[in-house]
Amino acid sequence: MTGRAKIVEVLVTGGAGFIGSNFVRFALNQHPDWHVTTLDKLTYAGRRENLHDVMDNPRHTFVHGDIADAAVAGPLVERANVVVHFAAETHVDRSIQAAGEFIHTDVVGTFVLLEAARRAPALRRFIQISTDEVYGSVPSGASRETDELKPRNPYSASKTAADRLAYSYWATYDVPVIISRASNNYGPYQFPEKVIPLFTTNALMDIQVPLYGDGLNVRDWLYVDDHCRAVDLLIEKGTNGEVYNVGGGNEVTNKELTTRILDALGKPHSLIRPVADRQGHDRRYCLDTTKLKGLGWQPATDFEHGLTATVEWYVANDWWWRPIKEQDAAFRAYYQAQYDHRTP
Amino acid sequence: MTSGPILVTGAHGFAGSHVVEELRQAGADVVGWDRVDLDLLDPAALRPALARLRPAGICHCAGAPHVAQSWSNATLALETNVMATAHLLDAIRDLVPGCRVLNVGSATVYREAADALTEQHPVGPASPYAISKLAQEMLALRMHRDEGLDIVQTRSFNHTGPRQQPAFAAPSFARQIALIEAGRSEPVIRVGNLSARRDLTDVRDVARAYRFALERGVSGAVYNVCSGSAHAMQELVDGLCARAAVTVRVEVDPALYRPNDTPFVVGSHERLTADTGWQPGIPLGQMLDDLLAYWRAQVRDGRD
Repeated sequence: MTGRAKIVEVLVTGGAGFIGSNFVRFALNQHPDWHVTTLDKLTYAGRRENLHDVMDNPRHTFVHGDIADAAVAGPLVERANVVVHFAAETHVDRSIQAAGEFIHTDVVGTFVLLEAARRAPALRRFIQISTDEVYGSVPSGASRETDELKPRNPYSASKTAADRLAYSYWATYDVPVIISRASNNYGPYQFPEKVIPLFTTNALMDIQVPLYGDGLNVRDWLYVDDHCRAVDLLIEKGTNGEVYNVGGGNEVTNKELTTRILDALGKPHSLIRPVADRQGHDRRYCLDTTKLKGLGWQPATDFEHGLTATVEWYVANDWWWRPIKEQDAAFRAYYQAQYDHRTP
Repeated sequence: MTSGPILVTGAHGFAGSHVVEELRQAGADVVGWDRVDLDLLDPAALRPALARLRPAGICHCAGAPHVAQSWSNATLALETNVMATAHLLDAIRDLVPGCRVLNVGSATVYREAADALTEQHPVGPASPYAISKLAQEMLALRMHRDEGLDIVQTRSFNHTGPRQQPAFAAPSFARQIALIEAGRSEPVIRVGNLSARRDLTDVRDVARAYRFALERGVSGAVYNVCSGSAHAMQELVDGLCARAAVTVRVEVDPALYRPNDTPFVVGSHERLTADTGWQPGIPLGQMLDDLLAYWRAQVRDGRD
């Protein structure tokens, strides 16, 4: 009825996590008409430090809370025009140690957000950030969006549940859901439990890097900025109810990845310590991204440049990661439980 | 009613905000929509939002409420009351046809009368606002009759209370008195036609009537919502001035007279009481106390 200059209200769950914080920063830079609210539980990987440069931005609001708490999350969703739902427990190894938190956050939390989305009168998009791991291990070829879902660990099973629950809320209630299934992300602000920051920071401290199994597991690496651009494009041009693969097209074995990191840092390969493989370790993920490319997306950062930029970021920002490794008792306990008993 | 939340349109408005509170206090799961969230005139936004929500009930409070403004801007009343309701009813029919709807109408649809208005009294809307509310009502009743929608229709008489805009008489008086008490105005209040007598109900009683009508009203019925007693505007001004902490002079301003102002309106709520058990509960004195207390707080907090 009235043509108001409208601020777009964007809720980013898990906005203090790795991909979430990169997206919050990207969104604030890219869209002067967006007001971004970060909702984050600040577990271990969600950290205020990840948003240090946007905490005072007048177009950004930070809310500390649990997506599974309807009293907190509900009102934020209800007034949003766009929800980008990154919040999740994400680390496979932790899900193998204890899956309960994964069910709580990834499944129940998504349910709470979707229920609130039904009540959001002006909601235009609900981007469900899923993962290529829902397809399970793919020995050859590339997963398409229509392929069977065969999650093989508690993390990917919880993400698959959330992925399909979000889809059902589109099919049943017309919630404007789009699902993105991204491959392994890397870039700045990734918690040093994931392989690239773990190995980079270990090497910087001249401690060994624990390489699983034969080191020939393959991941398709996606630079986090390319993922942010894909999400942004889906908000603008995606079709509700659809799934889009987001992959970097960089298939690299863990062994090659490790040597590249060490070489970039000028560290000896003798830092590599082979450890017994992860239980149920998916051998290979690979995504067919034809559908997303049809919307005009291309990864802009090739793996060589992305990895160099990432390693350099960790070199330049030890204020960010060193306290985690040196002072965080929870991280040390996790790290010891994960790797100390493993011998090849 | 089937399961699902109760949707209140116009939830940030005067009556709507009280209806939200009334329903929540009664334990209902309430979703409030307002124009800032969703434009009912935009079916492309309205329809998916309604499909998502699947309300079990809707209390349609959204509308352009001011009779006087409708003389100069009839299209606003027609768009906001008629067109928006038409879009909403179409969407309900297509998407949530089992939903119970309370369509908030107005007693201004009645032709002028010398005695208490019942629902059988002939209609004869005398302002663009009243015409818009009659069209809104007839759209809803047609939807009930021809399309089988579960609709209850009110004809609400004047009501007032906290949060009503000071473009209306009672809050205007209360606000002026609060400003005088705060030393921010000369001790004079300007008023319009004080001889007009109106059936005036406290908005919280009206909100409860809407809840009762939604819960227990007969589908397709029209219900007066009123106190059943008429009060001269003079009585309100005197009552508020008597409550003022300072002496206030009352000055009549002919500019505040409405065109075609009806001298006397009173309604009968017999049907609503018979079908739902509703009775007005807040006496005039408490209504004035609370109205003045609200405006004193607004003035104190600089929200006047």
